[in-house]
Amino acid sequence: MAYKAFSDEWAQAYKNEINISPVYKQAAAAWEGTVGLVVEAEADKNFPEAKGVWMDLWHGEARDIKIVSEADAEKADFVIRGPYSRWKQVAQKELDSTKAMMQGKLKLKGDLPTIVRFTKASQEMTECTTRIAVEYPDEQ
Amino acid sequence: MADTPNVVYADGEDEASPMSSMLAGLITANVTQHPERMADFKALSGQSVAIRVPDIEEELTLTFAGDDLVVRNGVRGRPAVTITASSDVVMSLNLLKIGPMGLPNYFDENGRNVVRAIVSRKLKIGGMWHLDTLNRVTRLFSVA
Repeated sequence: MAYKAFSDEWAQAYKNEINISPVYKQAAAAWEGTVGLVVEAEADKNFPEAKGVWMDLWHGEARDIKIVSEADAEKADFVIRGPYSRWKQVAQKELDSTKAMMQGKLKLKGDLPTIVRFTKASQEMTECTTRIAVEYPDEQ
Repeated sequence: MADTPNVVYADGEDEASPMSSMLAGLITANVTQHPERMADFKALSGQSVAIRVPDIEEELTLTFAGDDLVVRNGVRGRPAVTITASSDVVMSLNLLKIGPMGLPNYFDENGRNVVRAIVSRKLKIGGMWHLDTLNRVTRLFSVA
């Protein structure tokens, strides 16, 4: 079953995928904090309004992942922001998220040393997105 | 003595590459969280470290000047140490743990990965004989 990208159902599937990942559990065992992803609008890609993804992550577990407004996502401890098409590239493993941040393709707000310390966990989170079948709005 | 480094973007903040901003931010945050590392920062005064990251076509030079960390795009001057590696290897350098005597630990998993990268030439360090400089820079980058 394919989920609409950045829908509530997708968020739930993403949460489940993270919570069954032993790699994530180990890599994020010491992680505490919320992460907000801001997916910026790209009208020409049929993604006309920005969305936020709120992730409450705690010691190797995704306690909650939900779709929120851009403003709410900005309230997280760590915020990663980028246009829709960049996030799609990340989710499809065409773009490494760490590399994207180093290139300024994704913008990070939050304590840098902490993010760097958990690079492996963030890579596994990307892996988890690739294991979910997704319907992208620009492919409909 | 200032508590944290003052970052100076020699080419202008707007012109600074995202990677140079990121590494400068990392050093600043690291020294803020580990104030004892400011001594390493000050001890490097007058020296430069260049970092080349071919896979994202980035090059930058960090010059330590008293309390200032001067960031330049490209390789400038005559850096004491030049690090050439892909972006993932550069990030793995940040994960080197600092062990006894303040020396990088090359014996745990991250340390062994770094040694493997050196042996396989995925990580090239020019000026490796500047061991004191290299160790101090490693401490400033280490977030582990």
